[in-house]
Amino acid sequence: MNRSIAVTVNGEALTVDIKDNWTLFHLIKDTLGLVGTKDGCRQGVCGSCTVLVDGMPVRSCMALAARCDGKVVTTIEGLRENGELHPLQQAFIDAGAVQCGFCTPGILLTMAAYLKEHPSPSEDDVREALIGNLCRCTGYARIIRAVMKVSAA
Amino acid sequence: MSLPSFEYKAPGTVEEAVTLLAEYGDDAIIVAGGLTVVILLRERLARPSVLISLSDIPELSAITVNGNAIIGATVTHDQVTRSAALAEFAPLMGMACGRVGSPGIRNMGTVGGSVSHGDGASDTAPALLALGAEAVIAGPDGQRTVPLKEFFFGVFDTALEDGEILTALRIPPASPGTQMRFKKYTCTSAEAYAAVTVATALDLTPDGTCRVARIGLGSVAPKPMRAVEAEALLQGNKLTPELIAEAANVAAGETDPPSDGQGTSGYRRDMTRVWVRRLLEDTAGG
Amino acid sequence: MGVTNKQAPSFKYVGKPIKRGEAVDKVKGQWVYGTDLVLPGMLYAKALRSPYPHARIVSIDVSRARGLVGVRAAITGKDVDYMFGSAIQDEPFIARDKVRYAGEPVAAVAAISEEIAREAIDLIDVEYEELPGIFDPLEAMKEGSALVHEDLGLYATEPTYTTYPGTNICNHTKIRRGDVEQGFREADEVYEDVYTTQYVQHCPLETHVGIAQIGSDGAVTMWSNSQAPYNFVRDMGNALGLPYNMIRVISTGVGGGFGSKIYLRPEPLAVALAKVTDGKPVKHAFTREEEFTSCVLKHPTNLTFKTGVKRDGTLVARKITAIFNTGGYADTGPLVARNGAFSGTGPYRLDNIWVDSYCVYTNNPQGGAFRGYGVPQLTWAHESQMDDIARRLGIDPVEIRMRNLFELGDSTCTGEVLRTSVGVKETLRRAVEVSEQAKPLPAPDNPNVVRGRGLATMHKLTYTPTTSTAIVKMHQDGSVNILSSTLEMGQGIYTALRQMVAERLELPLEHIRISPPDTDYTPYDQTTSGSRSVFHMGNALMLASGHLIEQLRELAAKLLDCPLDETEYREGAVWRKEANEYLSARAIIAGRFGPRGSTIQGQGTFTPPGAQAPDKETGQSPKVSAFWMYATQVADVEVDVETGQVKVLRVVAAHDAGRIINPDGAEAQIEGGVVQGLGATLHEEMIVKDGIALNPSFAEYKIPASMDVPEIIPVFVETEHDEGPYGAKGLGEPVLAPVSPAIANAVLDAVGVRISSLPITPEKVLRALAEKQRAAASQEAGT
Repeated sequence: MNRSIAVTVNGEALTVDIKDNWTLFHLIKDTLGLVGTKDGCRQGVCGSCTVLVDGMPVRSCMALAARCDGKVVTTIEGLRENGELHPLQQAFIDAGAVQCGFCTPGILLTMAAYLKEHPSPSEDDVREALIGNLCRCTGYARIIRAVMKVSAA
Repeated sequence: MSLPSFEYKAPGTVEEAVTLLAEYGDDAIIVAGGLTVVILLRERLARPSVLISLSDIPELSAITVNGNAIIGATVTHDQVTRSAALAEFAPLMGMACGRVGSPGIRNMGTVGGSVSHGDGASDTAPALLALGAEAVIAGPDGQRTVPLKEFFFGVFDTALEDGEILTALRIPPASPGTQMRFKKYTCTSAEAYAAVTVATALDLTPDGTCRVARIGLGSVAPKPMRAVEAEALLQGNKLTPELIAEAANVAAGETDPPSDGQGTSGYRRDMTRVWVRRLLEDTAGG
Repeated sequence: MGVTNKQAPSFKYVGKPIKRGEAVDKVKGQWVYGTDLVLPGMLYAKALRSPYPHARIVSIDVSRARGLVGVRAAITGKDVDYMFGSAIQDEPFIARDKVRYAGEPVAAVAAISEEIAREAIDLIDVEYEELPGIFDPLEAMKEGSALVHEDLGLYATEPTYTTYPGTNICNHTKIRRGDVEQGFREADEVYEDVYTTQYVQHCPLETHVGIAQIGSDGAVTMWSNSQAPYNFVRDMGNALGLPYNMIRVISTGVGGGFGSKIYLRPEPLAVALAKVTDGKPVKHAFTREEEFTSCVLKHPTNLTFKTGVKRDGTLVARKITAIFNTGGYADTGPLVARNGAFSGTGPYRLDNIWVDSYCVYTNNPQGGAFRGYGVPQLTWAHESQMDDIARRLGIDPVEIRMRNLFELGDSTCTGEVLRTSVGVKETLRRAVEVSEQAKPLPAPDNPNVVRGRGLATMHKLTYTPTTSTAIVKMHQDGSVNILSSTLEMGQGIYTALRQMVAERLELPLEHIRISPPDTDYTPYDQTTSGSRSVFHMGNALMLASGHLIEQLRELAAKLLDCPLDETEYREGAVWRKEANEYLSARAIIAGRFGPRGSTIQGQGTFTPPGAQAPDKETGQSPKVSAFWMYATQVADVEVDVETGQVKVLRVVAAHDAGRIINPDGAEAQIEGGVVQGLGATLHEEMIVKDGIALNPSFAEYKIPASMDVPEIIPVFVETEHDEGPYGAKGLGEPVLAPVSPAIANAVLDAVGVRISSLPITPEKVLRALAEKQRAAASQEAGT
């Protein structure tokens, strides 16, 4: 079954033909060619596929594209502000919080949404907010440090 | 990553949803947050021709507190944790929903989905059981309610009949003086499935006598359960350390835990004893 | 910040916390990994995998799959006559008559979409005859056991290994030194203990991906997130019988490796399909489930340690039997068993040693390289036993180690005299010091816990000899490209290599660039593994830089019309010493080649000098490793005595990796490696029953998440290695090995129980506590 949905992706209003059985991940990656969203487990556990839907972190591998009609979607490509790196992106670079980088886009979006709602979290708050984003390389220490740095600013 | 082919339908009312379900019968699956259904589809464990989404039905995504609390079937765990009304009415709900998976899972997963799936490892079901909740069900013959303690039959087997949809959980008000505690105990990562989940709601008199006791348990039986024998032991009695220990023992004996990645059945029975005891001790002390 | 114990000399780049260049692409989502790569006309592969661990394929029919619209190829083992395998060429591209592990591919399709490929698999009809499975490696080793590989004697095998055809043993590494039986007679006490370890999966966030395309000339191109493109050239060339120059490996970004991506895995099936898809590239990406069942795992081991000691704790003799369960095919199991053996006795002085390390076939999922190559398993055993011995003798765990730890001039178990860079005692001193001086831990919020502290020391070799070659290419404007086949997979190697080249060439770091490998253009690097890259590729680049400088000086000498020995290279220019004249690189190149210029290439090849293959009977060699790495980790834990749950509060990790090229990157390696080790210690286990993996998913197999992580304090003990670039050695693997025994020893300290099998689950602790109470009670009762 095909349908047409209206979806705003990274600030661009689009009308896209989709199939009912498409996930949001498929729409983002295969149809729109936005490479930055990653596929880590296809079970909704690792969080690598996280994008923002109406500002809220969503596991795109578990979300149906059909449900995104009328929604605003932000992928890692849309995190930049006025062509500049988002403060979190810069903080990750500065803190050495990026190793293989596969989990990074999902974590950046999750934390960007989190800080918007909780501008002054404690370290324990951040640690808890990160629990659904798996990283195998960094041990999370520098990621949390980078988030705390941005929240203090 | 791909899912098998299906048609997506998003009715705007419960009646429409029931009608669609009657029309397609076994060829249709109801979907709310999608976390369970998408996995079933991806693994090819189900191949429905139609997915009936409840997301566009406004009344199902509402939390209403008015005498009772009504949690619509598509309310997400995240929404529950944010609800000030529920925090006051039944703090146990926020405690439980706040421990489901991770924030990303809580954004998408629904209370209704968790209950209607009949998963013995649901973390919210024990809390709802301890609150004496009822399942509100819509079907071709109209609406009916089933006390949640009679809703779970067995492994992924519930009181929902063909053509029926769980539309809400209804929680009665707790008597003043009711103390609620919740613990999800995991042996592996903090974000894992539980070895045992315990939810307690005890109505205590000022001198520590238990008027009403409800103990909900998850992950230690084929279905979410109440430790009814332990509850009976506590009811009407003063919460002494000896009684608490005995009740915890009895509760452990009522379980029938599986052996899997979260622990062996023997260990989980032991942990039921430990955590029921700890929650009761905390209740008595606090 | 990490704590170092040396004043750093005044380098401009080496030793500095330089930020990673590729981090910018990664935070923007612009770093392209294997899973992201899409090529024109690309087809999607999917394998049908055996549900049985040991079975005969009675019949198989792919005609229905082939007939599905959108399917371009459907093949079985009958269509593919190739075998691969790095140590032993024992693995068919697709199973033929028999399957040897559950998850082995029996058929494959290539289709125009992933969805169609997935549907096509369901249309393949297979009839299996189940065969009895061989699952216990100890049983598999017994005489008369059924065989996993009847043809072991016929497979091409690397001469390093000793196989026993007619058995299930596909490597036996021996160490014989001194007289172990005499040593036991001379000892005051002899202790024998058994330690075991479990299946662990690497769980890189990016799964394995191989894309293959066959050219009209028969050349094979593979795009892969491999850690070792030249391994793929060699192994695929050997498998197909093609000259190596007909195999091209183009590296994609790598989303984590940890050893799992060193050898061919999804590529053989992609190549087999690509041969029948008319030149169209075929992408084979593992699902997360396939990553667990059909990839490689850390070998589970059974380790028997018999150790003779003097009453003062001096080690006198040690006999080890190590059994590595390698599953249905060898992969790099033989090397894992060998490496484990060579580090197996621990970083301790010992004259009388007897080690037998076996790599054993079973019908289980495959063991392969996992960060440490057998050393984490042996470290688990030797450090657990060290504390067990200390306790039995009533000696402090630090004291017993200090009595035995290596110093300069001591010999390893393989007979190598340690003549440079032996910092192990210092790592122990510093780890203990830092943990004692660290700010006090907050008081427990749980009245049921008991706290304890434990430590573990280790050493590791790197497989030697290996070779790295590199080219440093200077453009006519003086800017430089590094051509190297080393992979950046998050460990920070690109930055470290750039730092070293910038330092050596005295050029600004921004003028040095490095890119992912392509074996048609980047020269040979054996692998990115074994903690070898800084040392070997670093040295190759130092040689290449030196060669570049030499050429610039020669050209400059001609242009300046002076003898070569009057020239001196400084900061991208060549000076004529007496005359205070100079020519910039740009001027040199223009002077020699005219205004359109040229590039100049400096080339370097590095193999560690003096390496000698160990004697097969005794394991002895004057040099079996380019360098030895050392570490001590101290863990503070608390144990809930009612639930058995162990919580790690703090880990101090003191590492001797020689000079640290980038302290930021090195600390990050420790922070990540300790957490990865933590997972394997406390809860990671792929549960395999009768050859079937029961929890092959992230939902069931949990890797540490953010809330599982303790405070980690990295400490560096920089004992320079006189053959290392700027004195550097390696760090990537030792970071996770000590944490398991350190935690087990901390649990021993806290509650007096020894957990000798990994993982240390709450249930095991609780059972051990109950057992201890029972034993104490019956002792009291006088029974």
